[in-house]
Amino acid sequence: MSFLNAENSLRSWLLTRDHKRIAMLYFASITFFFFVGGLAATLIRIELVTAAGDLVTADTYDRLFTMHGVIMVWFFLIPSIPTTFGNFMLPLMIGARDLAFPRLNLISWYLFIAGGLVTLCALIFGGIDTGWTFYAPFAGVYSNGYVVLGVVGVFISGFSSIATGINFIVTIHKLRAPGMNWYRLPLFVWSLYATSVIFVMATPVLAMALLMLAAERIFGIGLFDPKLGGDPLLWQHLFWFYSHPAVYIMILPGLGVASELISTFSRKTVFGYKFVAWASLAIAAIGFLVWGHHMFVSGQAMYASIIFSFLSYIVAVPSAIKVFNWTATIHKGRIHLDAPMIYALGFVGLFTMGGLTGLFLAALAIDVHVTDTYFVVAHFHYIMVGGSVTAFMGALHYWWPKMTGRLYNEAWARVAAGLIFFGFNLTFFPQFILGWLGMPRRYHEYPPEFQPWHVLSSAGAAILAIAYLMPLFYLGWSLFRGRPAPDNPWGATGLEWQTSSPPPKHNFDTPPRVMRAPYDYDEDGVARPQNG
Amino acid sequence: MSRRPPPSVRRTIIFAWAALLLLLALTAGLAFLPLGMFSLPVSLLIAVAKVVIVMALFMELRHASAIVRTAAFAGFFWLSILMTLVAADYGVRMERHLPERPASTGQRD
Amino acid sequence: MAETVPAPAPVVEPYATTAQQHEAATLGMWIFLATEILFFGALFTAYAVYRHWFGQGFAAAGSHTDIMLGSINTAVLLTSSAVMALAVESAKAGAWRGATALLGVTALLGLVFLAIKISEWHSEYTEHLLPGAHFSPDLQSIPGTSLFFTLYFAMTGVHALHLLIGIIFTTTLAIRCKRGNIRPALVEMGGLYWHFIDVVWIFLFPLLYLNGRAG
Repeated sequence: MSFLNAENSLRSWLLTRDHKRIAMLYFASITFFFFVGGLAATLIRIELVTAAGDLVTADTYDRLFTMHGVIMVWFFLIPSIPTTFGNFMLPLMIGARDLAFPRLNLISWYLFIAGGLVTLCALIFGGIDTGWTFYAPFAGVYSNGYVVLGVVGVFISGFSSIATGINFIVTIHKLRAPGMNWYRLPLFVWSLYATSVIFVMATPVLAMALLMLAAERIFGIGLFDPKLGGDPLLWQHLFWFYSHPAVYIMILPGLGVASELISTFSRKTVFGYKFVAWASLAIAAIGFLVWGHHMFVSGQAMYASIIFSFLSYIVAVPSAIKVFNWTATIHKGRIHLDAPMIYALGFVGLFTMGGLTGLFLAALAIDVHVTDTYFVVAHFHYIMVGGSVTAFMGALHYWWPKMTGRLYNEAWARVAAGLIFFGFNLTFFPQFILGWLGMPRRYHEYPPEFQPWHVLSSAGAAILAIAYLMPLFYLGWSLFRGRPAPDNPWGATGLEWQTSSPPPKHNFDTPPRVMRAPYDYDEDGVARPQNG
Repeated sequence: MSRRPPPSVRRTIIFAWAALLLLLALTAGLAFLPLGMFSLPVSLLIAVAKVVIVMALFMELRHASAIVRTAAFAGFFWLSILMTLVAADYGVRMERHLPERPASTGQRD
Repeated sequence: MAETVPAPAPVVEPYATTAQQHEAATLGMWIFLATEILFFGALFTAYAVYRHWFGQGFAAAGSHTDIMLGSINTAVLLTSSAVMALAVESAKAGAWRGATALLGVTALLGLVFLAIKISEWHSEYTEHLLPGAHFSPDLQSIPGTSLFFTLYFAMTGVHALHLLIGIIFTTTLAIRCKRGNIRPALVEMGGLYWHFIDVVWIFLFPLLYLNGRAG
């Protein structure tokens, strides 16, 4: 009797306290939001095929890219890996029966849904035209969009993040199984811990900033309005204090997933485990110190800009450490190119490109030239899509058998993975070139000489769209016709693979005792499970 | 026989309360003295002293585990990051924005 | 007369012992309070920025808050914290009658604070200190005065909202103590939240009431 078929009423799902069911609720929700955000992206890329603004008006275009950003950032990327695979796997990986606060976990999902519905209302009623960054004083004073509704929706969803963060941190500290000391934790757990620190320390500042923005709009007070003595840069400081660490919320879990996938599909322990573990914490910590690199041309003091630029170079170091350690892990490993591994390898390459281009942007002199161009757009899509979404897909294919008890068609999965990689690069590489040539972001029309690059990009987007739809079919098919999955289809070492697929409601029939470090494979590549 | 908290515990709380009220009187009184640029740091220092009493004695941080104490200070630490790096901008930027105009004039540039 | 002691609550999933459960709750509550520090912290940051820019205006405006009522309110809140601390110790000792009474007094003191605060806000409204079209023209001529009051109302408003939630929670705890169906840990958590509200006010008081008083 697994957690899936233990009880089947709607009530048992909507009032569940089981972290595995809550993970499934989240999974369905974020998938929905991914396609809503993707719809906006589709319209954007269709518009950009031609140089003229002929599909939508400028005002509508503003609402499209705002919708794309708001939905993708807050309702897909930020929750994605933590609330689905984090919720599902964290207790299993540490040998616990659930998270520390199961009811709080359920509340977090309802907060997420409430925030999502309010934000959707803002979009349906007519949209927001400020960009996902809500810059003052446009957002606070002059915009004609549904700004207050939108920021209230994001505000509510922020408490979902905070609740998840508190839950994960306390769980990792207090609910580890006997023998599971800190250096025996899977690296995915370390990355969830680092992510959770950001959840709890960054999100409250955004929450207050959003309230201040809403108050400015409703009461006409001058917190960010220069005509009333306020400073628009104060909005940017408060917004980016959260939103830069937020991008580490979006990538850290993916970095954790990469460690899991690479070790399993190389049948080797992660090289430099301690370095990789501490690198996650370092990314989270240093990530709080760099937000001003979003403000180099905003009027921020040059002195501050220099400090932020320097720190932005420092924050790249722990990420690089991870990439080198993954490379050393793969080296002389027994590589199995199953779909999760294809995603993992794609992740490493695309994340590296995204990260390196981030360093270009961290250089003040270069940033002046490429800020607010497609160079920035390409940079963050390489990290967010090439990185985070790819890692999400890798995690999905890796843990699908565990979560659903079914195996999917490996051939289709590999085709989709390859198509995603190809489509992604065709979509976003031309955007680096466009940005370098001067194409501004958030413009729906452009000089005709940019058109060839936009056409390539849109063609890539079409392929990417098809590739992202494919898993819906073969994964959905597997739910009905897939072969039943064994406990450990990949031969991996973690505790989650030492229980049935799917797991029983209480996770383990007998509570595990942890005997060894993770990723322990013998010289034939056979796993030595952590509890055996 | 009714149970009550131990006398030593009750004493600690009463003394803490007395100390807090004394510090309140001190800070309110000092506000009227011409301390110039020291009046803000002095009042904040007294506030910190009060907060230390509340956190250590009322919130029992002096008996708490290391991880709980870390969590207690984490909020202040992260806030100091926000304020310090914001100060790196505002501490150096000298321009002021337009002086305030009454909101009712409705003038737009 | 013997105090009735509620039966100890069973250990809930996923915990193995009550001690583990208690530690988890304490850690969780403190992390939540850390998030609250950052939540208020954004407003404190805005205050710091604008006080730096409009030092004169903040001092001029600051002298218009009611230092007498503000000081009384601070004393009320500090006292309520002491009472709450006693309530928590009573709960831990199993003195449920004492805990109920002390929690009740705590909530009452909270209501006193709110009453005084609302009367202050009302006075400020009638004295034209609310930013907007009717803001005092004398103060309006000095840059930054209106911003001070924007922050004043925002900060005391958010604080008052948190206090209101605290009063409701404390009252609920008092009722459950009277009925005897409560774990002492829950009273401790309520206490932590209450003391936190006090901590925020301890920082608000000098910033909003003690500026611009010296000659």
